[in-house]
Amino acid sequence: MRHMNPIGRRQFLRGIAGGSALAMLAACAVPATSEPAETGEAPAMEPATISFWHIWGGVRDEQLKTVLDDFGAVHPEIIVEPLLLPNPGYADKIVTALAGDAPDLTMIYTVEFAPAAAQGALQSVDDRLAADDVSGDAWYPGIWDMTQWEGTPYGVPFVGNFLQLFYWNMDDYAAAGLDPEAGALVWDDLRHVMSELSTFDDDGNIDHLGFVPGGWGEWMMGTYRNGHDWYGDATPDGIAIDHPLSQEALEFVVDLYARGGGWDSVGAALEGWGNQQLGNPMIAGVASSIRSGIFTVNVINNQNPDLPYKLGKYPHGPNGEHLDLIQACWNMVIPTNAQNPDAAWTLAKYLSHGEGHLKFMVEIQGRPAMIRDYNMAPHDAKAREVNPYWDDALEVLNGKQVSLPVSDKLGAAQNILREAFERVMLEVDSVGDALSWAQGEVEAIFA
Amino acid sequence: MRVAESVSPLARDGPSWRYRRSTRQVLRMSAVHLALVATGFLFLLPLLWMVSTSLKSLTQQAAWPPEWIPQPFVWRNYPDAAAFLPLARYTLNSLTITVLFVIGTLLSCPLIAYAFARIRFPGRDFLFIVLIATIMLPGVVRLIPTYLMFRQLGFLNTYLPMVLPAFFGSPLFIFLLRQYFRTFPEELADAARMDGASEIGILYRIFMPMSGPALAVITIFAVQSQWNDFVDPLIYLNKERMRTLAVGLYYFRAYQDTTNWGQMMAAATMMTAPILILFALFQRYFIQGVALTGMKG
Amino acid sequence: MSVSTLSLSVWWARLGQARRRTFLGYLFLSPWLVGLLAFTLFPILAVFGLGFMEYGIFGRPTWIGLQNYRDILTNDRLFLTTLGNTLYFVALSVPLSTVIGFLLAVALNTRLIGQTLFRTAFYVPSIVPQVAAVLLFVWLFHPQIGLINFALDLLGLEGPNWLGRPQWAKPAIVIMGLWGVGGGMIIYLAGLQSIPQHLYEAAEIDGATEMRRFLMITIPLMTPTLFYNLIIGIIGSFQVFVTAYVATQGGPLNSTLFYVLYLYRYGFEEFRLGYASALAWILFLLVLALTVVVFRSSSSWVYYESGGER
Repeated sequence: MRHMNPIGRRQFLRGIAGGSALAMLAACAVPATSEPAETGEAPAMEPATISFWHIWGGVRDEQLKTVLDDFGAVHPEIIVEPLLLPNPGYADKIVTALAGDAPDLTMIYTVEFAPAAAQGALQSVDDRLAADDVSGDAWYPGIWDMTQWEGTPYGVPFVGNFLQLFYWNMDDYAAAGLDPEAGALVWDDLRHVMSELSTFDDDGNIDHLGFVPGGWGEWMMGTYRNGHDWYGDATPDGIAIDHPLSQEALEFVVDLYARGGGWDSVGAALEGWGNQQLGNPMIAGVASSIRSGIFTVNVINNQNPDLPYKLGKYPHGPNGEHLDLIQACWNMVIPTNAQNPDAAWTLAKYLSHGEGHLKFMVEIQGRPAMIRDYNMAPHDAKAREVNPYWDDALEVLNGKQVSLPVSDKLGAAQNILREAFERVMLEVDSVGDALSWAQGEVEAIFA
Repeated sequence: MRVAESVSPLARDGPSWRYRRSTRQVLRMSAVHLALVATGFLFLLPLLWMVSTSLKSLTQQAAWPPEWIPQPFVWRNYPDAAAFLPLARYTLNSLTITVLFVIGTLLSCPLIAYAFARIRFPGRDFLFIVLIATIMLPGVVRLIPTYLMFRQLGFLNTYLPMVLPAFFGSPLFIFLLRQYFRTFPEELADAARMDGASEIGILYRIFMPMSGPALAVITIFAVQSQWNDFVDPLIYLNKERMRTLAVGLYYFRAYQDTTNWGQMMAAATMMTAPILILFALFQRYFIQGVALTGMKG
Repeated sequence: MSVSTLSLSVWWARLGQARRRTFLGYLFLSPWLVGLLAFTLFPILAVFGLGFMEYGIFGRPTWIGLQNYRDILTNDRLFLTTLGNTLYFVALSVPLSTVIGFLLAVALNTRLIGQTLFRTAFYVPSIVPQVAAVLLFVWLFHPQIGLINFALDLLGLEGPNWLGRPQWAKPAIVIMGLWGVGGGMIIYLAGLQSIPQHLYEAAEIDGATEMRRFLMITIPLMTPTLFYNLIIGIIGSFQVFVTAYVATQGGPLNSTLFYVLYLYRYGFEEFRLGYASALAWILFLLVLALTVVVFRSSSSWVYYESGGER
């Protein structure tokens, strides 16, 4: 299709006005050579302005704009109006919009995705994928699962909340007498890092943090990397929040915080780093290590290229292993209320498995794409320039993956888990009490 | 009606009876002054802190103990905040809504208030009680059906949900105006009627020109309510270029990668300043207006 | 056209004066009447009806009878929490703002140097746009470098993590609200200044002490104003939303999950409009009941002058 001269919007309108057969011509102008599905473009369609909502602020907003400019060059008939959603505040915006004045295309998080799909607020993309001859096999299986509702895909994966790696500052390691080449492979390593590298001033206030614990997510990650599955088959009814392995993980996180001076102390050290997607305390030198996604390589390149860091696998518990937990995905979805679903699909395709995806993920951000093929030669050349840890990342990615179930109850369940975690951290409940409370509540939610 | 009486005493500086100027009295008054100075200072401190922070660098914001005088003055926080989010655009949007709302209010409320104040007809008193009742209705009860109604009408992503209701009169403003109109002698309207003036004529030629203060009060209230309104724009507007200042300010925190209180306070100051300027210019009406809302009908 | 104008004026002329007035009265009221139907009566009926339905993001509302109410009362783990939070807020913030506002007004009503200045100082915070005020207080309440904890530090007290602890977040939100007592203060001040001076003078001649004059004259004559502010204060406090939405999002541990925030979540984050409507209706009944109680009680404590136009 890109061989064809794109029909300008004005020309096109003139064509319609003149009653000419231009529109038919456009429809007939199917490329003679069939291209790979993920780069193929749909036949030119009516000029359309589409609204596209996303949650990528800061540097990534700029990066996304360059990709959208490219899209505009390929598809001059589609004018994209991007809207950056606030986060927090994203959920109420997206949910009310789905019911009313919906965008044509939007990123949506698994927690909101499932209820929206369940209530019929999203369009199935099954037929569109079939028409484009794309199958789910193109994606990593865990990520692809996150687009499914009752066996039907209601979106395409855009970004997965996965591939958590351990980043550490080599100089800090060396200064504390640790091996700068060794990260942290098991929990005891992480405990050690937290104790050795956290420093306090004379009044006992925290100065520097050894490791940045990520709140209740650390517990979730820890549970799965300790060989347990909250919603899995461990118990007859499938829900095992109060399992010993889960408890062990929670106690580990409590201990980790304690080594950083406790909940408030760690909070004080991390003050102002609410949105770690856009920068993080390790990059700023406030902390020595962090668990973060592979995109952080790109953030470091942008913000502090001289940072003496290294990355590796994120540690696991005594009963677990280095698996990759896919907690959630940001999917691209077309709301049922979309005004221009066809044009929206053209953009969704471009960004999720077309050239836009390749460019945004692999070339610009230097992080693995959601599509397996894009992470292999010859596509990965630029990524390897940006990201010296490409092979490490792929090793994790191609290792064992576990994804949380897509359920319209997942949001409610995770609220309970988060609350249980807070109860423990704010010393309202003991670990045991919080867990048995959470067990009961989550059982009730899924009942 | 005691509206007129209760407005005028405001101009007076306290009660007129005389104290015996004993030493005890002097001491006591000094103590009252001192206590008021301290409390007044306490009330103004947050505002001073807002402005002070808005002129500080990131490092100085975090200084402990806190410092009051920015060193150096970081004026850049203001243009930076305005560049970070299109605050100029948001201001224009807030202004648009506010102006349209005020127009609607000034078109509808005097008419309705006049009918309640000076036209006798069956059902009027009952409807007036209904009006009072709607002032007391918790607004949240209306939230969802009103949202659904405006959605059905295709008003999402327009300013109509904020602006349109003004053209149907706001109960509190109608009430205030009605009270004011009632202070005019009955004979005023009667005499005009004898001269063949229509009711519309009486309202616009006689009542309105005499009601400057009351109209100023409801205008100021209307401006305040729309400039500050958060929930309606939050619910009804989904386009970035349509956002209002209140919502934009809230999003300020959501978009920043590190919390820059200086920029945030600069944005807050920019949002607060117009209201404070308005207050400085029309102080009397602000105070009178608030005083009036407390008057029993 | 002219014919109809003519017939209109004939009809107008034939109407009696009383009927003309009635017609004009309703004509003038018509915008408000339409608004009353569209923006008040319809929503109240609709919210009542929606409370018996299930109404999600999509599809038509379906009738489910009392299910929403049953779920709220028996199945909703946060309903009592949110009700408790709200009652806590109302119970703390209404009396506090009444007492503080009233005391400030009484103090300002004495002979003062710079009365206007004081009045301005206390009043100005109440006109600061709410979102700006809340963000400002989030900054003031900052656990480590906030001004409030610095002040406590100077007093030798260790300031808490105000918005990060369940037991401190609600008081913090009450304090945010108290910053705006200036509005109420102005109302009390106006009330105080409309108390006829001769009452005080007569009492003074009778030898009544100042405290006695305050208790026997000021307080009784202020009860109508206090009553009005109490009602408005209760209704407003039950609907506290923006402070919690902006400052804490209901946390920590749901300690600032106030009723309207909770309702908003159901309505606009989960889009369960039927359920949210049932919640709204419950709040409506609650506020109504409380208002009626206060109104009923008013005969025993609110002083109304006899005679005079009401």
